[in-house]
Amino acid sequence: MNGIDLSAIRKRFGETEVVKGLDLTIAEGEFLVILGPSGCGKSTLLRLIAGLEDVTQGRIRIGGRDVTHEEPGRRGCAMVFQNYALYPHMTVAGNMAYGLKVAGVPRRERAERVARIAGMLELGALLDRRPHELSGGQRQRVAMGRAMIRSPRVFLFDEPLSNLDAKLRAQLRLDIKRLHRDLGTTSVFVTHDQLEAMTMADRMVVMNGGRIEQAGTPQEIYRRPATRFVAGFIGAPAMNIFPALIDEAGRAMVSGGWYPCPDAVWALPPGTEVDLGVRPADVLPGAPAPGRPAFTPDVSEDVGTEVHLHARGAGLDLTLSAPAGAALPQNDFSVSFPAAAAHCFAGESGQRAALRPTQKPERTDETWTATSLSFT
Amino acid sequence: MVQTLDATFALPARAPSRRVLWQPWVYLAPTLATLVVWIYWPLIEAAYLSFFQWNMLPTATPRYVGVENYANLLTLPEMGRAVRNTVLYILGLLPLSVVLPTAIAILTQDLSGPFRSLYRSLIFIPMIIAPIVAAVLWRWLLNEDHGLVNAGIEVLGLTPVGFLKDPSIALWTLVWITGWKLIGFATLLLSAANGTIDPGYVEAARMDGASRWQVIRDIRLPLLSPTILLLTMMTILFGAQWSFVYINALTGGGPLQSTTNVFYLMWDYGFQSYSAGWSATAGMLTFAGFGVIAMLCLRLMKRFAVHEG
Ligand SMILES: Nc1ncnc2c1ncn2[C@@H]1O[C@H](COP(=O)(O)OP(=O)(O)OP(=O)(O)O)[C@@H](O)[C@H]1O
Ligand SMILES: [Mg+2]
Repeated sequence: MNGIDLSAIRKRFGETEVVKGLDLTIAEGEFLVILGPSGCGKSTLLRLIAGLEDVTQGRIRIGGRDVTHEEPGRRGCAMVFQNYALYPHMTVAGNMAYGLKVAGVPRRERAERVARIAGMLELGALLDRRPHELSGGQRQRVAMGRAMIRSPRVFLFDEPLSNLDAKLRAQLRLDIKRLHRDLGTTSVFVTHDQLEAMTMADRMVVMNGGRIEQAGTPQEIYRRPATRFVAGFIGAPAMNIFPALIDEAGRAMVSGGWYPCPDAVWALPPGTEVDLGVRPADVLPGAPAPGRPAFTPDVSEDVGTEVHLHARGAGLDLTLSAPAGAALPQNDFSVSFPAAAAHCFAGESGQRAALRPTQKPERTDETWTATSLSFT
Repeated sequence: MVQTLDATFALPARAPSRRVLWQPWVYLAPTLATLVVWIYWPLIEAAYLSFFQWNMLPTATPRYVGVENYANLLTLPEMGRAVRNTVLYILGLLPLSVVLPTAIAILTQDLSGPFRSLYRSLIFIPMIIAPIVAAVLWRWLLNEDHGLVNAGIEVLGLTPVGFLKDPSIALWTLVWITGWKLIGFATLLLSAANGTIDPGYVEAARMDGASRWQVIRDIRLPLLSPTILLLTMMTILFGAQWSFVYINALTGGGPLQSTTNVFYLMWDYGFQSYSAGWSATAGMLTFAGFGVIAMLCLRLMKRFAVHEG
């Protein structure tokens, strides 16, 4: 019974509306990651759940209880801040025990619980130090300990790893995941790091401009982005997007009469302006052919596990990625991609369009692999 | 100094030039001269004078009396009273220069807009009024027969108070006037320090379930402690001196020497009774006393102040 239920949440700072009518249900024990560009209202949403900001409109329920007007300390949430906000005048033990002290837990029990949590986080040797005598990773763990000690119903994390170096970040990411597995506490984790989001989330929410663009498992969001924004935001390198027009048959035509994905027939009226998207890994290079724009290889980046090739064509940029060691086109090439790899976003809001059920058989994995292999 | 050394090392072949050796001293000279002329020389002079009897007339020669001045002053009841009053001044000032400003700074931190400006002007006006003007204003306000304050007291049906005439009240009146001038400055310092406390600490404490008062007690006050200790130390070391101008202008140490303190006494011996030896002796005793106190204060400050690190 420790889920979170947000309904029609709005938050205004003076004139600017930062959270614009947001509904979200977080199941008990779920690890939810909120991802979005800077300034989209992630931290604000988290602070609304925590009670550090008051909602302008809407209701917040935690564990079925309406906490919209509760004090932060009484909502059963614990928060790990981006800069940790460890009390500089207290020792590590003092920092961890402060919440218990305020709650009137007797000294002996406080010490026991601090020792237990410190054991879990390997902080035992640091209990008498002050925060300024700790490294970034140690501070992060103390902040975790402070959050864990009151056995909260909900953990709130506001970019807790963003001040750490890449290696430590990967390590702590795992630690947090393990802790979540062992404790099973409902967690909301804010980040703008995709990798963090994809790897940690049970479920992920992509926010933009104070609204939820899409909520779902990382796989759903990566494979079937619901909007043009999500498509462009998730995935590195970013998805290729071509502006296109729907023709009489429902196929998407890029200017110049090019059909990059002739197999896909979209359930959209003819003449609709759309954005046709394809992930760099799904692009199939081929020999130059009439009626298809030629792309010229520009820069290639080898990131170790795969190679990214940036190419330019008539008014279009393209990124293509292939496993390390795969052959990449050296000269001008044309591209196509299968219907299964195509994403189509229509209209102002850039909503995802569906494929029209067609007579043509969908491409099977088998044919797809065959085409992929043909160029390697 | 470091640069000088570098210059010499950089040119090992040449002998260090004279210019390089005396150059730093030229830069230091104005400061050193000020220190010597205004602090060390008078100190030595005072120490010397404290062993002599001299009426400050240029024609008279000081007469050496050994430690007689010290023996006399230390046994003089007048001196004892002055020391006691000095302590009372300091104790009376502490609430006005530390406790009240701390409370004001914390209570007004959330004020915004016109209230903020209003409160700021109210609190800072006393600070910018010249001390002697403040003294005159307060003499009028506190006048026994025609003063505004006593008029108010009479309206309430109470008997007028001799704020500057009653020996049991006069000292506290002077403490109030001295403190009234200090509240603004102390509040300014504490507000500034309070404003630099990272709001993240307060938010973390709120998440930990701390009440408003617990946040103040456990987070704000410890983080303000360096400023609080600084103000306490300043009050202890300088509080009695700050009241000098009001003693001089309003009571002249009276009535019945109830408002005198060591600083006023020093001045009184020197420039009222022209006994330079006694004045210098009082000065040396005060110097020694406050020197010891200053050292204790510094040590306490190191021990108790919380630094953010
Ligand atoms: N106290 C405040 N007063 C006014 N505006 C605010 C306040 N807090 C946040 N904002 C505004 O609300 C918007 C969202 O801020 P928020 O901190 O939630 O963004 P974010 O998604 O966490 O960004 P980041 O990834 O950079 O941390 C920003 O445009 C910010 O300027
Ligand atoms: Mg943020």
